[in-house]
Amino acid sequence: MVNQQWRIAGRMWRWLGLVVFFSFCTHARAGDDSGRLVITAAEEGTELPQNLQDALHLRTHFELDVQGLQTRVLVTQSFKNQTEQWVNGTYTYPLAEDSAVSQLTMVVGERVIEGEIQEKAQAQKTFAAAKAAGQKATLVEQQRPNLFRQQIANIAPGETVRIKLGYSQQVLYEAGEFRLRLPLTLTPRYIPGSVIPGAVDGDVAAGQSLTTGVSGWALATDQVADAAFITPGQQHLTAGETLNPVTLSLKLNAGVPLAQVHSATHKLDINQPTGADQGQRQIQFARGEVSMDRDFEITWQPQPQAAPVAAQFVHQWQGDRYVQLMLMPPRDINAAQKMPRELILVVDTSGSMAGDSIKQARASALMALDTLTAQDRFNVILFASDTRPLFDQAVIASDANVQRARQALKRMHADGGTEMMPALTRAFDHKATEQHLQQIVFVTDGSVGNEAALLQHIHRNLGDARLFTVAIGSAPNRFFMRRAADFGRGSFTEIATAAQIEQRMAGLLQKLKTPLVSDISIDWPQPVEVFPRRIPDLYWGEPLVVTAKLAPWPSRSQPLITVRGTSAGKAWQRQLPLSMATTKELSDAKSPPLLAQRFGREKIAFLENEFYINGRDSADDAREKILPVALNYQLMSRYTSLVAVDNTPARPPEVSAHEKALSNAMPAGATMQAVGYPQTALGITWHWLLGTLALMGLIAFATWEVRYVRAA
Amino acid sequence: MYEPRNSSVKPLPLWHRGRLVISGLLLVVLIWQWGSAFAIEAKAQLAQVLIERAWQQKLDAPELDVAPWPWADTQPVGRLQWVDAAGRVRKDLYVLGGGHGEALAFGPGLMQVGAGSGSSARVIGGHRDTHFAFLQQLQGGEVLRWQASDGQWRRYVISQRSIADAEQGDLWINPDADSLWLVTCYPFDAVRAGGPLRYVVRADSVSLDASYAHNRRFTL
Repeated sequence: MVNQQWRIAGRMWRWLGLVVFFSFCTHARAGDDSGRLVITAAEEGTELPQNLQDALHLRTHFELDVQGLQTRVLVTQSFKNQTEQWVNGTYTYPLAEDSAVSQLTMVVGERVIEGEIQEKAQAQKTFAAAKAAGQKATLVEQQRPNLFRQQIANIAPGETVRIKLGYSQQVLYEAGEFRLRLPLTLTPRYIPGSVIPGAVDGDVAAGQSLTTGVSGWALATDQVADAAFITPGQQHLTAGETLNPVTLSLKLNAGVPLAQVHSATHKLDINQPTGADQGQRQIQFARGEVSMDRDFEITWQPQPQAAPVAAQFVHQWQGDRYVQLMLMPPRDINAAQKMPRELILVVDTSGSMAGDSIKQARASALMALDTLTAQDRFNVILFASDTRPLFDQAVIASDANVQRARQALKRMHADGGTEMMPALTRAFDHKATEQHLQQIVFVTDGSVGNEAALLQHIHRNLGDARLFTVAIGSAPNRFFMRRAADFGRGSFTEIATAAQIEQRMAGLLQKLKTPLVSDISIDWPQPVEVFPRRIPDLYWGEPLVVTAKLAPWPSRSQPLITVRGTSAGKAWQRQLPLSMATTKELSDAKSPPLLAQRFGREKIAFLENEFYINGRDSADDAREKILPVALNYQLMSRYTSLVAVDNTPARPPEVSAHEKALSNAMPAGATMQAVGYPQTALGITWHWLLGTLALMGLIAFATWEVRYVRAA
Repeated sequence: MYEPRNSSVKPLPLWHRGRLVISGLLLVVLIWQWGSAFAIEAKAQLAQVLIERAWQQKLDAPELDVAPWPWADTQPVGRLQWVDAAGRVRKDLYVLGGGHGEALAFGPGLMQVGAGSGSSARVIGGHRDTHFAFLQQLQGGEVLRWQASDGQWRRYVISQRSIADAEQGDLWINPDADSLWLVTCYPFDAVRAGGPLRYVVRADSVSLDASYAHNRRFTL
């Protein structure tokens, strides 16, 4: 009898035990979530570093080799695991929007592992298998042409893994000045759309558990499916501290005697190597090491008499010749034609513009207003979460109207989301009269996640208008801004610091004023594949730049390239001999030469643009076209990734690795602020639960007592 | 029938005494835990009544510091209301200055944003199990009202609800944006306190000038 009662009580205890177990499970689940995170702060007393940054420490070194219009870049990122655990790291970082990424090397101590280009899904499989097997592996994926996500698996405690990424980017030549920009951080991107159900209402972790690696601060929405991958954590710089230190070694070989080399963003240490010619410089940061909190921009000007008017670069690969052609249209095109303009000024006043950016946007917009004459018409549209046009329609540029616009621009402040679509729609709604040339000047940092939809929108609704983009801030989304200008048949201007406003805006105002060279065509002496396929109109100061692939062709005595165009109603023509010589090879023999990859990259950009025009439905088609190009020229693309695997297992199977994310620095000048989250739960439920457990224990005892007495 | 046992003579068996001790312990745990829970609820409810009185004084004389009770180290800085479509007040809370633990027990706390001066963005933290339990019922487009010490009510429309991870990073806000950010712990039904997730409700100011109303139609 007693035995049986014991059994009952025992069953009861077991049941209670189960309840206790369950309550701990709930707790443990909350704890599991933190395992996905950077540091488990909940575990008090553990010897984990305070700073997010310290879990995985990052140093970056850029080695740039500039030859004329081409730049070969080798980035070395050193990841040091400063924890006592095995770590899988995720780092999301920007590269130039036209970068042709082709080479990945992983260095662990003495071991050097070369990566390779694989089709995206295949690369993910390769990486996942290696990660699970405890092997050291790296996967680099393209999220946007200017944003890459890199995962490194199985970094041992205290170990340093170096990732070397090789790519090339193009030097811009405009208004007699060469320019190179190296993005070093990003402005937090606004993610429009509503969160995909299941991500907010359900379990957060479950909503994103399909992906490997840690994810960003935004959840996927119906408009930005990869939101979690393009929103890495970001940190403000604290005074006196270097966040994500970066060093630079730039070898400049301009090919022309230089008058000036300058950077508006960083202080530089510029030397002319002994014995080198007038066009060569060796450059590094004056401070040696700086924070990655703003893009690096460098400009150089040739001596006036040496300014190039035409240049050709030729590389050979697999029998084909790859040619890049640069040609300045004549500068003396007369500016007789003066068509009245309709200027639509669209200014971004979203939260990401807060700080220096909004001031620069204001100054730029005010300068644009200054150019209006009495025959012109204009309107100003401010936008953030909502769209606020100043006037219902474009109005004449009378003193009173311009004054009103100035007031509105002075009053504007940065605040809210970045809903670009309605703002652009509103701008395109303006119907210019026949006599007016409609110009939309779009001033923004471009920090949005729905670039593809916006580009399509521009393509479909542009009409006869021209879209000029002005990229503002320390780290704008240059990919979107440049493509938007391409799609808008206008031009792209960038302003990184307040000191640049005057010069760069003056350039833009020249472009708005003077006629352009249009209807450009090139006659080649042989069959050729050339990009951009449709040559855009040229604005003031802009050269013609095309990249072509020429199949083997019996040589003639004097093959000539003829460039034709129309300028101010007059025909214009230039002839230059097609160069047969091969420019000095920049790359090693393993990968395709620089110009072949540049050609591949231009072709991919063209195919991407087709994809943006046709929308999501054409994804399969785009994949079919882009994939072979990317594989042939060994380039990263939206469909190909770089993966490197060290076959020797490193992590013992019984130890698990923890996921850690690296943060980027907030761009300099941004005033968005971080507020630490408060501790906002008291655990009442826990108190009730424990009390209830105690009560049930008491009841159990009481019941048992009664039976015991009766049994006795 | 059976023979009654002479139980008064026999000493209690050892395990029986142990059982009594355990019962006593359980009783202590019961009183302690339920007491704590009850105290939390009582503190949260009662304090709001006291704070309400202090708030009325504050509205009468905004320049004075009014402590809701003599030993309080915080004072009311605003009043937050959740208003439904019919205009009924569904929730009415008095908000205290500072987001530290002691203040949060008595009412939601207005957190310091950056240097703290001149910011028009307000971040308010509250306990998910007391004052801010109602956040889980909030829907996008609903209206919140905020009364500052000047007595003026401002309307805010809920524009975003999200779940954030306190360990992944901080809450990024633009201090110049006229907005309310309500923060509480997540999930709402978690048993224990101290998890890393936070539920964040963002509401943006409705400035009611004509041009805004006119332009609303252009937003998505």
